Amino acid sequence: MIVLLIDDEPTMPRLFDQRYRKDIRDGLLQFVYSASAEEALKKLEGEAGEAALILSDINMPGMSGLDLLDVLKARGISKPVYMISAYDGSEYEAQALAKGARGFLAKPVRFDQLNRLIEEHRPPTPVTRPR
Amino acid sequence: MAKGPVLSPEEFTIRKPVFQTGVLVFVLGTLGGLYSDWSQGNAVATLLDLATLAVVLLITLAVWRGALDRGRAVAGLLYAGAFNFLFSIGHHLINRSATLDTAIYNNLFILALFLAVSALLVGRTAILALGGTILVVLLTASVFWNNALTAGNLWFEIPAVTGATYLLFHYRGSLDRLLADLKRVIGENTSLRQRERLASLGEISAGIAHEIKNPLNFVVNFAESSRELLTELETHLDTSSPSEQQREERDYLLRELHQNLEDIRTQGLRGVSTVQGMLHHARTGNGEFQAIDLNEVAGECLFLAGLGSKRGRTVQKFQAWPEPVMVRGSRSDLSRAFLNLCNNAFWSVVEKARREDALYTPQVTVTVEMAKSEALVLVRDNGVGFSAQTKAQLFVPFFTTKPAGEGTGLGLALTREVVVDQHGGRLEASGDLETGALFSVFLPLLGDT
Repeated sequence: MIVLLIDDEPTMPRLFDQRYRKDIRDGLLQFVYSASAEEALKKLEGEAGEAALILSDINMPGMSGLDLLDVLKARGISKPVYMISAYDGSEYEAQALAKGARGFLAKPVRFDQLNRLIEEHRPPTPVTRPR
Repeated sequence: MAKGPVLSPEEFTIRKPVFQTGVLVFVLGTLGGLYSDWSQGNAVATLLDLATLAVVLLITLAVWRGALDRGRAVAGLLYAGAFNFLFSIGHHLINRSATLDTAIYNNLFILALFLAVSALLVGRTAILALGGTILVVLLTASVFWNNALTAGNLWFEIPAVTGATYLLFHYRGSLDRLLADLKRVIGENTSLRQRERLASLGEISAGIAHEIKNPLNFVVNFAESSRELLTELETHLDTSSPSEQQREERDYLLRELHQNLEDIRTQGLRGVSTVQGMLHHARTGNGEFQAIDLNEVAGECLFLAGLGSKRGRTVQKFQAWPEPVMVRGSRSDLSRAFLNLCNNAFWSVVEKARREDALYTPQVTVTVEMAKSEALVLVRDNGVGFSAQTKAQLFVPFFTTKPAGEGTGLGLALTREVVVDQHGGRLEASGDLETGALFSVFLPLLGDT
């Protein structure tokens, strides 16, 4: 299962790699990281094309996570998107949901929540990769 | 210097030189009376003059020691004078079988004047007490010294005293209301500035919360993850002869743990520096002037504004002057002014980024420079800029180009008030719709006024 994570915090990939180390090693999960929405859109045409889940920050350099939702909709990409943001507030959440996001996770990220989310969206036949 | 309100209660107090001159005139006058009474051999009047002099000295002493305000002291002096005149009238009446001559009328007139002014200075109660007393005295006098105050005089004096008392009472009341209003207005003015300061902090507070939660995310999650890594490491430590793979695993875990602790520390410090910057701005101060290094204030404001902005990929550049650029000013007010300029710059580049394609690189640059006699802070952005028409209205209060609810239209107006009115500097704007905006703040250097 491929998960696309979009966040401009440079430490995010290390955190996710560590937390999902075993799943990654066992080929149950694969993360594709982007530091911007623009980069993510490119990756969706390549290595993240098979992503089953998109996790995106809101406040990022250039295009914001909310703008990304619009672009995805315009391009007809209907992958489930969840926002992960340090911004408090129902305002962002409501905006994101209105633009088609499936949900909103607040930072600090709760990995038990995230685990459940990943399991929910795990496709029936997991994408296995050589170690 | 800071501009005070147009009117203040302080302006109603008697100024020091005026008070001192008044005391001098009073003392000289009494000394003259003392000499004249003494040379005429009038013992009672001489003693009275000496007593008046003593009271004047006591009052002056009380003011000098700060025990009495000058307004009340003047009232005291007038009462002392009034006592002197009253006593002479009484003395006059008793000694000469009471015919009202010109001297007594003169004394009465001056007495009434002194009493009225002193009562006005003390307050409304004093005016009522005075008016009442005079009326009682007049009525009593009409009974006991029937020939001293003729009926005609009495009919004239009772309504005159009543009217004067009413007028004085009325004017003192208006004066009290005016002062109370003034105090309230000044108080509101202060709280308005306070609120404005908090508003500019509120503008960046969402950004600050964001900027604190991001490091917290790593602190919390790396700590949690480290706990799991440690549990895992423990199982490897149990093995006495680890396999190659186990050793590799163990090294990996140790490396990760080290890195986790390092990251927790770095991210913690990141949160601390954010909070420190915020506190610096929130510390309201009282607008007190002090020596300030513009390098420090301008840099801090750029940093704070950067936190608050959804800055996109904005390139944020701070060019400090190689040595401290010292000016004299209010740190809190100046930082509010710079924060306004920086907030505007970030807003402008983010707005342009929203409109333009990916080729645009938003830039906000703050530069501190020192010229011959002036300090200079430049806030430059390559954002949406402004048209010549907008430029003319930049500093007009409540004028804003931001969408409803985003700008108060007060930022630049207040910035100009702080820079120009409060600090005697200059604020210049240049730019256009193509290149963006440049705001230049000129401030007089410390020790160069």
